[in-house]
Amino acid sequence: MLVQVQERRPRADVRGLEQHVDRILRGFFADPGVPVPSASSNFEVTPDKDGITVRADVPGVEPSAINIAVNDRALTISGERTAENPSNGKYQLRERSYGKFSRTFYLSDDLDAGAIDAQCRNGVLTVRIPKRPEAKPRQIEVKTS
Amino acid sequence: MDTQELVRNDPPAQVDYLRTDVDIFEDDQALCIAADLPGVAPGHAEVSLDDGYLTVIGRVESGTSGAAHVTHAYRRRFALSDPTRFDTEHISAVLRLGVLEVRLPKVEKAKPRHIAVTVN
Repeated sequence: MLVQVQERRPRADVRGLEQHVDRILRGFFADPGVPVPSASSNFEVTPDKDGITVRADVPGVEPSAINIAVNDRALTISGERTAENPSNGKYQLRERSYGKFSRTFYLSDDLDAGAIDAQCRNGVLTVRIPKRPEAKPRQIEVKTS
Repeated sequence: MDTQELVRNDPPAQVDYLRTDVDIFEDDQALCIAADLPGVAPGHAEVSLDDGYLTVIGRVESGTSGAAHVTHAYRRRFALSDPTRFDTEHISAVLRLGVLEVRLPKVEKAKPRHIAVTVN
């Protein structure tokens, strides 16, 4: 097993180690053929009676650098936070993650993949996938003859 | 030369504040702190400098205005090892794309003075 050696940073805290281990573990368990994202992104999926809301923290990511694609029933949310690399100075502390992120969700049949809405505000991406109209709970009128 | 401008000094985690990632960058002009504050809208971030402690707080609200409530908040605190090195009157903070950038300009060092030598 090849383990990447990182240079020691005296002021790096345990969180840096946690992220490093997380990346290695994701490399083992990711689907073959699916690229392992280098930047971590917190995703949250919340279903309700009318559909599903996917939220992701994407601070510092330009909305134009976010890509949302639907292919068959697969919804892929990807993007990139580019690192600033200023010259003439140095980092005392570097905790924020950079690079590409990507997550794929498989949409169940009751969701309307053609009616996806995405908004990015204050560094939070919110993607809303409603249920198909016919899949929503509805009342059926009982007719009397 | 002492290049350590900041001494990290996070107080014990409080129940209501979450820790968030920051970058600290330093050059000849200033010390810059960038803090990830996803979900923090303009007006809900605060930066304070008190007795050599720099505190960054960002509050995340949810719900429409009127029914909005704070769901969680981020906080980081730093102790400046030498506050006199900085022009604290001109600290600036910009919140964009959920990232807060705080800039502490350094005090201009006294420029070397050349004293003319007169020959009598």
